[in-house]
Amino acid sequence: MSASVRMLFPLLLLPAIASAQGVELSGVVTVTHGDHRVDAGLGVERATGLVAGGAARLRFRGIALVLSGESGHLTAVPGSGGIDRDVAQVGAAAQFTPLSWLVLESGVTVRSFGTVVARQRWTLIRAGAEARVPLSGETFWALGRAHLLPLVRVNGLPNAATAFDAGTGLGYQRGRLLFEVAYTLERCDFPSQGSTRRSEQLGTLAFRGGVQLRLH
Amino acid sequence: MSRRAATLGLAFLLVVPTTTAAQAGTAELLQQARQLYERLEIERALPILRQVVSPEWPLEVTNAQRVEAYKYLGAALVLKSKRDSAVLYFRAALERDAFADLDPAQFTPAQLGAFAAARRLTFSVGARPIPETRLDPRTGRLSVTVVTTHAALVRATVRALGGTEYVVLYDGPNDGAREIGWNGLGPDGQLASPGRYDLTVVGRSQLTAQTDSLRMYLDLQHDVEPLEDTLPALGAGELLPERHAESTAGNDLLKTLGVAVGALAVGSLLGNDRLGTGREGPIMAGAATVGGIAAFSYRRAHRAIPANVALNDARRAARDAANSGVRMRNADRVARTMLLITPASAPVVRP
Repeated sequence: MSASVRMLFPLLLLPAIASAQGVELSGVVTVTHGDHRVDAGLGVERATGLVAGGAARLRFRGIALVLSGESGHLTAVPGSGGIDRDVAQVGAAAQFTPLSWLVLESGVTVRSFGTVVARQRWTLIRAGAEARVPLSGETFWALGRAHLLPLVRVNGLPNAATAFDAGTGLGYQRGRLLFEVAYTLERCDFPSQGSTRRSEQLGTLAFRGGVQLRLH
Repeated sequence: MSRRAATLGLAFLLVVPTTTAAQAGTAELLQQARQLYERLEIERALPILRQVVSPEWPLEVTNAQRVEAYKYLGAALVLKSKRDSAVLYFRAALERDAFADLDPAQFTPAQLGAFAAARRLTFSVGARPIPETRLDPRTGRLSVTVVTTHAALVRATVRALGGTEYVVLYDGPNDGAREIGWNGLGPDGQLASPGRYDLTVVGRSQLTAQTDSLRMYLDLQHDVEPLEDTLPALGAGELLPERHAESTAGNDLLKTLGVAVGALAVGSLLGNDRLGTGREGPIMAGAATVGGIAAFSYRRAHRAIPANVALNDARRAARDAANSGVRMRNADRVARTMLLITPASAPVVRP
C-alpha cells in the first residue's frame, strides 16, 4: 500500500459514517499549484509544482469534520539552488459554523517533504476562521480565511516562532456541485540559530471541485 | 214593598234572557241556530241567524261565522220556498268567502241548486292563507290554493314589493279550486332575494263581466349556512422580493474586488520580504477582478430572482386554490339555501 493510498484511506470510510440521517457530506478533488520557498541562510531555495488530492467534509447541523490528503512533486526552480522534493500531507479539522457566513476551524496537518537526501516531517496545528460572504443569487461567494499556527513542529528544527496562514478566494455552488479557487500563503519563521534564521513559505493556488450530498 | 219587589222581579225576568243571549256569544248562537235548523224549526232558527248577520249585533262576528250564518239563512229560506231570497244570502256568503260551499250530504238538491245559481251570479276570487313554510327550492314548491266561484280566467303573479318584474304562477282558465305553486325563483330565474313579496290573483268571469282580485303579502328569508371567508390577498411581508435591488450588482463587484485586494495584500503585507511571493496572489486577484466584473454585468442584466418568483407563484397558487375551495364550498352552501316564507299580512287583502 503506497503512502498516498494510506493517506486517502480514511476518506473512503466517510460515506459509511454519513449514513446517519440529517448529515451533509461533500467531497472535493483538489489541484493545487504550490510555490515552496525556504531561506535557511544560504539564499532562497524555491520549488514549484502541482499537488493533487481530495477532501471530504461531513457536516451535522453546525459542526463539521474535514479530512484531506494531497501529494505531489515540486520541482526546483533553476538558479534558486534548491532540489526537487515530493510533498504529501494529510489533515483533519473540526469546523463550527456560528453564523451562516462564518466558519471557525481548528485542525492538524501532517506534512512530509521528501528529497533525495532526506525526508522532513512537519506537524502543524492551526486555529482560525473562514468568512464566506455570498454574492447576490447566493451561488457565488467571496471567501477570506486566516489561521494562526501555534504549533509547527519539524523534525531537526526547533518549533516555529511565528506561523500563520491567510488567503482569499471565490466559490461557486450549483445544485450539488461545488467549485472553489483560493489563494493561500502559509508562513513559518523559525527561531534564530546562531546567525541564521530559517524561514519557510508555501504559497498555493488551489482549484477545488466536487459534490455535496444531503443525507436525510 | 211587595209591589216594588214584584216590579223588580218582572224587570229582572225581562232583562235576563236578553243579556244571557248576548253573552252566549256568536259561536253558541250559531250552534243553537244549526240545531234548530236540523230539527227543522226553521221559524225559530231564522231570527237567530238574522241576528248574527245584523249590523246591530253587538258581539264580534268572524268572517267564517258570518259566512256560515248566510249559508244557513239561504238554506232555511229554500226550505221556506223563498228561493230568490235564499240565493241572495248564498251570494252574500260567496262574496265573503269564495271557498264557501254546501255539503251535498247535508243539504237538499234544491238548496244545492240555489247555491249553484248564486255561484253563477256571483264572481269572487279567493285564496287559502299561506302557512309559515320552509321550502327547499331545489325540490319543493310553495303551494297556494286559489278559487273562483265560477268559470273564469285567472292570472296569479308574485313579485318583490316595489319591483316591476314578476313571476307568473298561473295564467289560464279556472273553475273552482286550483293549486298553484311557486318554486322560489325570481323573474331572472335566480333564487328570489330576501324581502317582502306580494302574491296577486286576478280573475275575470267568463259568465259575467265581473272581475275580482286579491293580494297576499309574504316575507321571504334565506336560511343558508354561514359562509367561509376567502383568504386575503398576500401582503408584502408574505412575498419574497422578486428582483434584486439596483445596488446589488455594485455590492457584488465590491465583494469580489475585496477578494482581489485581499489576495494582493496577503502576498505583499503578510509574506516574508526575504522570500518574496509567487504569482499565485496576483493570479487570484486577477481572477477575482474578472469574476467581479462578470458578476456585475450579469446582475445588471439579470435582476430577477427566479427562485423567489417561483416561490411567490407557488404561494399565490396555494392561496388561489384555497380560495377556490372556499368559493366552491360557499357555492354549495348557497345552492342548499332554504327559503323561509311567512305571511306578512292578513290572509287576504282586497285592493
